[in-house]
Amino acid sequence: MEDHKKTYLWNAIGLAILTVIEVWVIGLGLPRMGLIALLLSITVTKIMLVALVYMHLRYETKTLRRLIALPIPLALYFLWGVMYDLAYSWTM
Amino acid sequence: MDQAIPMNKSFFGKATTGKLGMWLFIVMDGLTFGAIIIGGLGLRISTETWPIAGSVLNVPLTAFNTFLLICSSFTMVMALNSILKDDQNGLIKYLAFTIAGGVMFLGIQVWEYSHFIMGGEHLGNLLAAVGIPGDQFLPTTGIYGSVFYVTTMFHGLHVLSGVIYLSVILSMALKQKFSADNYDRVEIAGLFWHFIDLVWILVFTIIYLI
Repeated sequence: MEDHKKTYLWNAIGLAILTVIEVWVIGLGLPRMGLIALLLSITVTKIMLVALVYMHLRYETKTLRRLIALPIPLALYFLWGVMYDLAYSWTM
Repeated sequence: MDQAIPMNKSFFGKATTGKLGMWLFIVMDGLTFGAIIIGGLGLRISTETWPIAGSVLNVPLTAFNTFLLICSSFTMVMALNSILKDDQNGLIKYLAFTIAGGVMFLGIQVWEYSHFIMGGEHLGNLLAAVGIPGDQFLPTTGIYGSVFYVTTMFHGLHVLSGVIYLSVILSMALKQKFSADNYDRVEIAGLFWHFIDLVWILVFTIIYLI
């Protein structure tokens, strides 16, 4: 592996800035759904930064990345299943 | 100086089987966290009383805790970076910083819990403003309390496990068990620590900000 010290440092600074932005936007009085979409977008960006840079997924083989990405659609499928059940319980 | 651990590695592609094992554990643990978070969201949608961000929970303090975990992720990856250059002192220093970050995170979480459990007039006023009776915020304080404590406590237990895990790695580093050719265990421990950071990023947004 190469020395990525600068990348790691800039990644930490980027994550810290995004955290400050997250806390800042909740006080802006944005519409509820817009705020949720914005916060989730920032969160996904932060998660990707940690996974790609700190967990070195960016430097891993395609096979390993696919193996790790595979359960994500499965989790979304489970989420859909839960939501379906929730909608059912509301109508009862 | 003790002998370095012999290289008995087997590989899956470019990754060692140990690393692959940790990734599989992370995926499984991620699904467990997913179930807890999705369950919490489901309960939230079906509950009428749900305080808005910052009305009960201390957002600035928790944002600082998030910052601590980000810093500890940086020091963890720097520990790996150090051993890749055979820098034993760097490895020990950065591992110690990472553990200190984890301990501070847990200390703040315990302080937050104790503040909620002991309660008081100020907390009672905050709770009353969002329609929750009483002057304590406990795991039994409605669905909101249950979701908050289950999610943050499950994550906190992971941080505690990570601190213990990294302490073992640090004790091995102090005996100079790692080198530029033998860093697999440091990398695997790092994966677990970064995963804890990654999950907290999601928990912070879902529980504290939304």
